[in-house]
Amino acid sequence: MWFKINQRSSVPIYEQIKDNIKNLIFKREINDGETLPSIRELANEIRVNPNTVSRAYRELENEGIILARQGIGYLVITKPKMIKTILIEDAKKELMDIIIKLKNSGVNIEELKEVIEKLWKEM
Amino acid sequence: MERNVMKIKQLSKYYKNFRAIKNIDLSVNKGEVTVLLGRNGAGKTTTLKSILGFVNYSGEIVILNSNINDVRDKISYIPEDKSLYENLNVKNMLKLYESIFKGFNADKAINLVERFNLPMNKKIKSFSNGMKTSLYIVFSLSQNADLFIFDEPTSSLDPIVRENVLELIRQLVIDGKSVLYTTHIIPEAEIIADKICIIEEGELLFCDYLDSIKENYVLITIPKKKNKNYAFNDVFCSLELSNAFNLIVEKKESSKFMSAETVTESLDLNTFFQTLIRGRKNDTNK
Repeated sequence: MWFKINQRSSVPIYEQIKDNIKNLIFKREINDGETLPSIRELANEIRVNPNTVSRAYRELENEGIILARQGIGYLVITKPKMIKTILIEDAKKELMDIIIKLKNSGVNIEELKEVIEKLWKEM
Repeated sequence: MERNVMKIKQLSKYYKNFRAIKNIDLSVNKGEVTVLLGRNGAGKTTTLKSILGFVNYSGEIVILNSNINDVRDKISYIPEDKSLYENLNVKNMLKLYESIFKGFNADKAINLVERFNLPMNKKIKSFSNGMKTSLYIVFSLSQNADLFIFDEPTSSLDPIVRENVLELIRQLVIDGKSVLYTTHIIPEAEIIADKICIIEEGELLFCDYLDSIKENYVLITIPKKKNKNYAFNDVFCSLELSNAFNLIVEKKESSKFMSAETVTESLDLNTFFQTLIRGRKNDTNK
C-alpha cells in the first residue's frame, strides 16, 4: 500500500498499521465506501506477517472504521468526524504516561493546564 | 480448524549429566512464524532435534496431531549435514527430490535456483558454504509441507541473500504455512517473528507475540543513590548497572515506579532480550 513499517520501532507493528490507515482516511486518501487491500496483499506490500495485518484489521473493525464484507473485502465506513473522536481517544492514551509522571512528582492540574495552553498558543 | 500445528509439553533432554534443555513448553500456531531466540549453546538445536525425533527426550511432542514419524512428509527441515548430495548437480538433485517428496514443487525450486544465481550443472561439492546453504533453503522452501523448521538458516549467507530468504519465509506464512525458526540474531527475529520464545541455559524464559512485548511492557530506569537498599516488587526482570537499575515492568504496574527521577521508555526487542538475559546472569552470580 502506501506506507512503511518500522520493524525495530517500540511501537507494535499492528499499531503502526492502524495508525497509518487512520491517517490515510483522515487525509482522504482512502474514502468512505472504498475497500482496503486484502490481508495477504497488504502483508506482501508492507512486508509484515499476515497475522499482524489481520489483528490490525480486526481492531479497526472493532473501532467501527472498517467493515469486513464477504465477497467485497474490508470496507471503509467511517466519516472524518468519527476519526476526530478516535484521534482524541488515542491522544488520551499517550497523555496518560505524562500525566502520571507529573502527578507523582507533585505537579497539579492548574499548572499542567497552563503549560498546555501556552504550547497550544505558540503553535 | 486446528490452531496448533505443534505442541510441546515439559520437554527435557540430558546428555549424560549435562542438562541441555529443561521443561520446555512451546507451541507453534498455524500461519505464524515462531522464533526460538537464544544465544549459542542455549538449547535451540537440541529442542529442534527432539522435535524431529533425532534424539531421545522426556516430555510430550505432538505435531500436526500426530507423532513425528507419521507426518514426516508434512515437515520440511534442512539437515545439519549438507554433504549428502555432494556428487550430484542441482538438476539431478531436483529429480531426486521430485521422486522422494510428494508434491515437491520443481518449478518453484528452479525459479529460486535462478534467483539465487546457483549453477544448474555443477557438482554440489564445488559450491561454497553460502551457496550450499542457499541450495538447501531453496529445496526446503519448495517442499509441500505444513510445518517448516529452520535452524539458524542464514548464518553463512551474505546480507542480500539473507533478506531474500527472510522474505521467502514470510511468503510461506502468507500462503498459510507455519514456521519454527531459531536464531541468535535479534534484527532477524524482529523482521520475521510473530511469536518470540527466548531460551537461555536450556530454559524457556519468555514466550509471547513480539507486538505483545512492545504493547505490555515498559523499561524503567531508576538512578541509584548511595547507602540505599533497593528491592523491587512486581517487576518482570531487573538489571543492576553501576549507576542505575533497569527494570522491565508490565505497563499496568508501571505507574507506581514513575517519578521525577525515573525514566520510562517503551521497549524494543533488543532491550528486552538484553535486560532479561543480563539481569538473570547477575542474579545467578550473586
